[in-house]
Amino acid sequence: MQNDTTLLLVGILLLAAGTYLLRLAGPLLSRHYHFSGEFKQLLAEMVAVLLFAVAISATFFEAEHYAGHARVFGVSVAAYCAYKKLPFLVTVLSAALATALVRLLGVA
Amino acid sequence: MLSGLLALKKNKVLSSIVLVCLADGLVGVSYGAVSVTAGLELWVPLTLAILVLAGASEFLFVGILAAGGSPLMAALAGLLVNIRLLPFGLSVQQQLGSGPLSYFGCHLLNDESVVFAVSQSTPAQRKTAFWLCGLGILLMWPLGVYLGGVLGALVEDTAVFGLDALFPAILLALVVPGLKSLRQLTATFSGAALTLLATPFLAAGLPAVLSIAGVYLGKKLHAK
Repeated sequence: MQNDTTLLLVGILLLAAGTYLLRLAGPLLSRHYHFSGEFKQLLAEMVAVLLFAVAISATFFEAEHYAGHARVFGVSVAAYCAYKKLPFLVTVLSAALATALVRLLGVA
Repeated sequence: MLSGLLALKKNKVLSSIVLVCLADGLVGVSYGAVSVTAGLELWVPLTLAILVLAGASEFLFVGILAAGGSPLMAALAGLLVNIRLLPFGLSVQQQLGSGPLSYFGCHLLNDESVVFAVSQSTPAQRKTAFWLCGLGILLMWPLGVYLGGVLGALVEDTAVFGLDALFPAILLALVVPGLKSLRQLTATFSGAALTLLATPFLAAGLPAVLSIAGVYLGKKLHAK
């Protein structure tokens, strides 16, 4: 047990330290290299593309497994709300509500 | 900083930031509850929430532990998911500044704070938006996880509340309203398609990084 906890702590610290270095790398790089306006524009686009991809994969997958119809349905409702530019809170809560409702109806 | 704050209040960005932080708190509740129901002690998700402060990688870390995986594998998988923080960092150097505080500011870099930073019109507003959103999440995320951990010990099945759908919904609510041009749409949709196609074949986190190729597709197909 003692051993397990030590290993767990090492894992947590590894993730924390590595994540911090990844966060630090971007600002450090852009301090030493000067990026053009066009490149900055591309970066802004990249942020949107990455976030969208993370959202889509978090919709369909839980680790490597399919997350189930209920979550996909719930997030689809939210995607529609976001597309219609409804208020943030409506969009986000619609996802949880729709997911909870179809689960109540027995959909996994 | 103060003038930025007033401007943000005036154009309603301030209330959006508050809402995003609250919603992240709710995601934290679900993550805390899921971790505890999976058999982990509350200090594990709580320590991750404070020191890692990057939701998706924490879900993965806890998920791998719950499935019986080794903490070292879980950490490596989490780091893969967080690779995207590097390109994010390239776009917020100005908001971070260069003093000692910037080393703390780095820790506040996440999906939400980056979106708010890049979507403001003046440098002062960008800076204020980044710091406010980052600090708000630093507060709300661990708080949510703690509450979730306490709740999770009481409620049997937390999936009933549908809270697992919140995280993708928050990201979509942040990104989708900003997609206007055909070029942006091509980039995001082809990027997401690449990610989905690659998911069965690559380790978690890498497929999302692959989506960056979508930017080039958008640029190639809709060059001015």
